[in-house]
Amino acid sequence: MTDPILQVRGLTKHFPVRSGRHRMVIQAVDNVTLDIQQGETLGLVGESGCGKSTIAQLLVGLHEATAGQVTFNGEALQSMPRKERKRVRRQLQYVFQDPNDSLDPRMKVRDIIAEGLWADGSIGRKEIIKRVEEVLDRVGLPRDALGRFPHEFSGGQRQRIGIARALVMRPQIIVADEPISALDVSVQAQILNLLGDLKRELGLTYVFVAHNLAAVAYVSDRIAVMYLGRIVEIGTTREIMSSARHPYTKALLSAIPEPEIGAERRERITLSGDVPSPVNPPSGCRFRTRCPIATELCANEAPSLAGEIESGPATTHLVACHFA
Amino acid sequence: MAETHQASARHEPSQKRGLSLLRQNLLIQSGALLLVLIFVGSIVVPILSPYAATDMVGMSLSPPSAETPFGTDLLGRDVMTRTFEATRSSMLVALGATFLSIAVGTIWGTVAGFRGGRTDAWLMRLLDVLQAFPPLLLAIALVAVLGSSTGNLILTMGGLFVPQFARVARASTMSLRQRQFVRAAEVLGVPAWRNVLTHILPNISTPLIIETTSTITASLLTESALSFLGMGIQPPTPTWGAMIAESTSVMTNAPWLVLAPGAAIMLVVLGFLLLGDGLRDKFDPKAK
Repeated sequence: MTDPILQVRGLTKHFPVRSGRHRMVIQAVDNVTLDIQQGETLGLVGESGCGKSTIAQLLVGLHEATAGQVTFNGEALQSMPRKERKRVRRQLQYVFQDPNDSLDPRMKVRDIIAEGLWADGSIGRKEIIKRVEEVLDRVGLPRDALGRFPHEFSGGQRQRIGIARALVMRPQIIVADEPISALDVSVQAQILNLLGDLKRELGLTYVFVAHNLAAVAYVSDRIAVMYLGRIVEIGTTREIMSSARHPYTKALLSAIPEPEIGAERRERITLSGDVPSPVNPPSGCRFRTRCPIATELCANEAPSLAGEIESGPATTHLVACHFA
Repeated sequence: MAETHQASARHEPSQKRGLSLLRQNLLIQSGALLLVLIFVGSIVVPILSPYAATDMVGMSLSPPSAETPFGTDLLGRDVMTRTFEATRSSMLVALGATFLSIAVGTIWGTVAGFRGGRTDAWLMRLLDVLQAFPPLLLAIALVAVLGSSTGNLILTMGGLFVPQFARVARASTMSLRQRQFVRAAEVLGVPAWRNVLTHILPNISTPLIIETTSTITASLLTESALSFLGMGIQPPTPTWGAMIAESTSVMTNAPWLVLAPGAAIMLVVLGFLLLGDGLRDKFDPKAK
């Protein structure tokens, strides 16, 4: 197996918060280890607040990690000089969730897409114009879109503009943070297909963050399931969808509606209680407070999947559960 | 039946909207008209007037007449010429101070709002110190130390109004900072200063413009107050505040001496307030 394009080792992000006199720490992401292979789509799923967006933002540098290391093409990002890191980070681009909020309402589409190229400083005017037009064709927007403002477009078209803005930097990896959840259902599929086409044509690698397991399964080669800041299960899409082993993943899967009439009903697993606060997560396995099969072992010892990735995976399907 | 009901329901909001648009335009138009008239007057009247502002043209304290429509002052100078001429010096100080405070306050506020953390805390605490002084007292003290030239007045009053702009700019910047398009620029590697110039400034201009109109009125009043106290632009250059101060002792005998500059102050302030209210309604319909 070739070296992964992106190696995430022990990535941790704690946000300090203050409530009254107490200083507390939100453990948004805790000791996450991942490998992302060149050309694959890794889906990151979990419910809101599980830290999936924080991971996405850590990857592109919107937050500084509290601990851990991200290695891109064999180069450790954190230990690079700032300028160098900025240059390398251009290879990692981000597609935002809400296309209404991610495009400056006072800028024309031309300027929005070209912004990163201007900021680069080393690209000539002609080249910029050429690349902007090229990328516009790729995402399926008409040429006359360039002179218009974002509010003149529909939600799906705006997301295409957002994708064009990322694509024009010629990135190797695109981190898409819930790129379709703010869109109408009717255009969600269009955007997913566009992302799929772009990946094939350009050989891109995606990190696809979403809370919708069905959408993630549609685009992803592999899926990582997160719960309360940790990855609980990771495997190929087929492995996760058909032979999930972690009780949390099983519960998520059972919640996907079955569209076929008369199909055999899956048994619905309903989790009781709420997600515990990330300020004070449960000891040991973080899922144990809601887990149907938890025992004393789960409270004392945290199950881990990090070690297995480090030693070179014998299998692609890893589970952080004592009983799976 | 159901159809007509629907049609009227659809019609109503647009009518309401039409009315409020008319109201806004009325505010903006009347404010702008008032200001234009006064400014044109301030240029045209001194040119057309047969007297200069410092000429003694007749008897001291003569009442309004065909030759001197607003009468003459203690030294026999034409009050109308002086009132209109005073618009220039008063407005120069008021506008100069406002623009100085916009420039400094906006930079101050956006830096504080964009950087956040310690930078923000220090910058804002400094302004708190500035605001802890009674503004007029601070202005008097500063002018007394620096001397009351036009430049010093602009500098002093400009400094006085920095906190307002800095606060407005900071608040708007902080909320924009969380918007995805500002973060998107960060991911693209856009440097912070460029991010502020291209994304923050254009999007905070509206509240700043609204703040500007109220600051112009405030600085106009401050300038008049300083002049009244003898700390403003020095005679013989006419200013409204100084004209009022000179004539308080003879107010009962010659009320036109106070009325003319008093009315001028009121009308200019009214003009800017109308303009400001109209702009606020237009850009920010929620804040009423």
